[in-house]
Amino acid sequence: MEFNYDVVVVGGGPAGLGAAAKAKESGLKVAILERNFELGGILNQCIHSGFGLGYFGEDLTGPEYSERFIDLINEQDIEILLNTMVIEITSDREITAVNKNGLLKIKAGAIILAMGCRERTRGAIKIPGSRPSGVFTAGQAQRYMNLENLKPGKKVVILGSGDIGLIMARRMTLEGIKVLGVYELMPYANGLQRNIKQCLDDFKIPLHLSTTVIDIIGKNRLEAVIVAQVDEKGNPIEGTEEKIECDTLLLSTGLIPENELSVKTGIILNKLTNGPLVNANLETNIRGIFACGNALHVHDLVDYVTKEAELAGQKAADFVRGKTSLSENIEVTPGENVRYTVPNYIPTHIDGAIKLYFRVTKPIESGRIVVKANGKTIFTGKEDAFKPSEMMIFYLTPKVVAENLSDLTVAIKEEK
Amino acid sequence: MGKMQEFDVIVIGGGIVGTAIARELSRFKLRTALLEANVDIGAASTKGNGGVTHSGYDPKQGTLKSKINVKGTLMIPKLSKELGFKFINSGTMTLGFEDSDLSVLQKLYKNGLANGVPGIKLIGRDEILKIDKKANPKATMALHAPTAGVVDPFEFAIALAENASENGVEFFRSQKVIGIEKEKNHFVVKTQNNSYKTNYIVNAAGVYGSEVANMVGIYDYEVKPRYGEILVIDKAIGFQLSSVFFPVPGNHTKGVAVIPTPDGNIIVGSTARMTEDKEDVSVTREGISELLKGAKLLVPDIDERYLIREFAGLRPVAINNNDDFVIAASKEVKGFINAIGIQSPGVGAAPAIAEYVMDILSNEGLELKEKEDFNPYRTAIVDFSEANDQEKSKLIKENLMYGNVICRCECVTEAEIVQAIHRPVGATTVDGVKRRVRAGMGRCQGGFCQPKVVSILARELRIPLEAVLLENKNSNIVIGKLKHQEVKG
Repeated sequence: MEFNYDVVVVGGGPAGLGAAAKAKESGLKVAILERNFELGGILNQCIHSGFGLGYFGEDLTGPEYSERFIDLINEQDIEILLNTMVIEITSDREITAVNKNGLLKIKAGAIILAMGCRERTRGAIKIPGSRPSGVFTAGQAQRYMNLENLKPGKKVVILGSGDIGLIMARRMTLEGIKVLGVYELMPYANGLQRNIKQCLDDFKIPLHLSTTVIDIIGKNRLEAVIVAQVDEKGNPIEGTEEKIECDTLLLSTGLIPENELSVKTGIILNKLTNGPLVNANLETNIRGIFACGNALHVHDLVDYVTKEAELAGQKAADFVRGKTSLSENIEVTPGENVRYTVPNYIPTHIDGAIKLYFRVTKPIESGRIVVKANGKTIFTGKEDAFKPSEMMIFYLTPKVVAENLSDLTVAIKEEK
Repeated sequence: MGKMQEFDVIVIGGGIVGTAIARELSRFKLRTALLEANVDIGAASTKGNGGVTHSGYDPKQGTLKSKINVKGTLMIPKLSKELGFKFINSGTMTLGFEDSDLSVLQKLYKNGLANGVPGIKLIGRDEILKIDKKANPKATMALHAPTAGVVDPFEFAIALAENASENGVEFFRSQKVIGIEKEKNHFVVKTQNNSYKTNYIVNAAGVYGSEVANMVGIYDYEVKPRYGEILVIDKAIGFQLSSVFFPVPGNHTKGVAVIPTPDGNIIVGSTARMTEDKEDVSVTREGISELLKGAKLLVPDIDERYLIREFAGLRPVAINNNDDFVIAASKEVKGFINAIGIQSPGVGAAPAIAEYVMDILSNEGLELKEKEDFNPYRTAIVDFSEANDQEKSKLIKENLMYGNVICRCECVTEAEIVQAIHRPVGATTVDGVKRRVRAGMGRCQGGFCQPKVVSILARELRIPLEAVLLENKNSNIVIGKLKHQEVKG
């Protein structure tokens, strides 16, 4: 079959950039399809620092981080199609995309899905009340401020302690916008500890745990929200309601991998992540289609996105060059206190260690990773603390896998 | 202020009823205007309902509603072709589960026959599941009404308004009527910043129907809102419905229904509660739970994880009128016609209401002379997402802006948004764009495309970004610029 490109990467954010750069190292014909007018994805609006500590050992801003990869991509013969929206991918790897030149049909040797994620909306979390202007997702407000020089409001309440919300609490404060508080439904913060410290504590912005917004008031523009404390089940506790006058509400209540395109292709999603189910090559159930970055699962740090994307880029290139073969797989499933794992399948024979990403369901002050095969414990880790906000990495070694040719469960055993 | 504009007929209210009447009036050699209080038409009761064009088995036999409903719904398929709005002839099934439901369904069936509803039938489980396999298999019987269907009620109203405008009706939005003076042979209708002279007034002011009537001294009916909440479910739920589902009805409402939309979503609605507040469309926690519970009874596979929006609407109910419509000329005030209390099934009934109002106007002495050049057709904005590959290529070739996808969830292009703004009675707000071309209607709810829609609106309307509204006046999306200093390069 004739291909237009050996490897086509859908999305030019950090995942797409990392995957394309790596795939190019194998000397293949690589293209990136990006819907925006520029590469870099959401990093372009992340003007704060904290990126690159893991990958470059340097503290970079979002645009600086993406610039390094964009420079790398530009130095190489990688086709970049901007303002190009992919509207369909078939299981035999034909992509339909549109841009101002028309409708493009692109045949690919391998496809890497790197579409990123979207923010959970007000509708999805069912906040009651009216529907005035002034209610934004945190990333939307970030875009208005950092890319469009626009001021979303004057007095802000932030619901959810996700990282973007925390970053925006600081960003807005620096612009003279009053941030009244961050309210979190869960009894623990959802963002990284360093962001709690640097974005809230340093600016004396209060974080209210086990508290949520139960009503939105205002016909035209937001006028106030009602917050209330919640019980262990997340239900509002009567008598704890408090009205807070504000003209802006930011929602930082979670991210969802964008996979509507993937579903139409026939790719099976993991219900726990909303990203595709993948094997150790980050290959989906459809041969030759790979996934990485926040389209696969929501990451805490971009550095991990890049590393994961490089693996997808390498494996996609290997696939095109006929270097991967179908192998027998065993399944990896989350056990107690573990929300999900990526990958979901690993081969029975592996050469090097396989990086297993996972997240815990709740904060655990002291616990140990326990890997079981057929109900039998085959590995117990060191005592450690675990937080849902942090992505954990565990290395599955060839020895562990080879000796236990059955499905594995990864759990965290709490130590009292 | 210049010379007062003069009209033969002024329609007050640009919801589904007012726009249908305006479009009907546009057939005739008349100077017609429509005044809408809100920034956009179709932005009150019309946007806040389920969009079902009911078959008409429900209204009590002999009522005005029963006649108008059956007739109006049968007019919808042809209108949908003329005006290019989406209509799906899904039919409805009212599901019964217990023996006691049978007598209610039989009563409805008989009422339907008496109302002259075509094709209604009582069916059993096998037939129910044949029509839609997503129906609760525990349902043992149903009343099937095949003439019913679904529309996007706001798309319907916009189509009517665009066509009326192209046929000469003048639309004035953001014109809340604050007073009406009855002169000897005409009325002067006053809004906050304008006055309009007219010989006839049609009151289609929805929940404010009684306030407008009161302005000319008519106190016959009080209109109060019946509040109802509605949920929208993402297309990503993985199945579509072939039928509208109702439970066995309560006293004033048809209960929580599960409704396929013409765009492939599912909506659940609605709750029902009489209220005094004519503005409050806040949703409640209890309402959302009630809807989800009701929906699962009819279609067990409804999954709340796919919820993308919750909203509420107000249905105008004429009090002490047996839930009937009030469509009549005033006996006391010559030239004043009420079309009020148009609660459910107002959407399906609207075309018949409009015809009925023409008869009333004619009886009241208005001369209805048909225009030779009336054009009944309106071409919809070409929906890029529904075009095939060849059509897509052609669209982009003809208009490059079709190659720029703005709303990723619904695959809406810049070309469609620009057309929505520049059409007659075009969009001036973010929600106005959404109702016309669906940008922001999807699962991210404008998370990604809203900033882009805001800049397109500002560019096309030549207004500052901070002046762009979400929906109502003062609903500005952003309040100003962060940095004011110009960067000189």
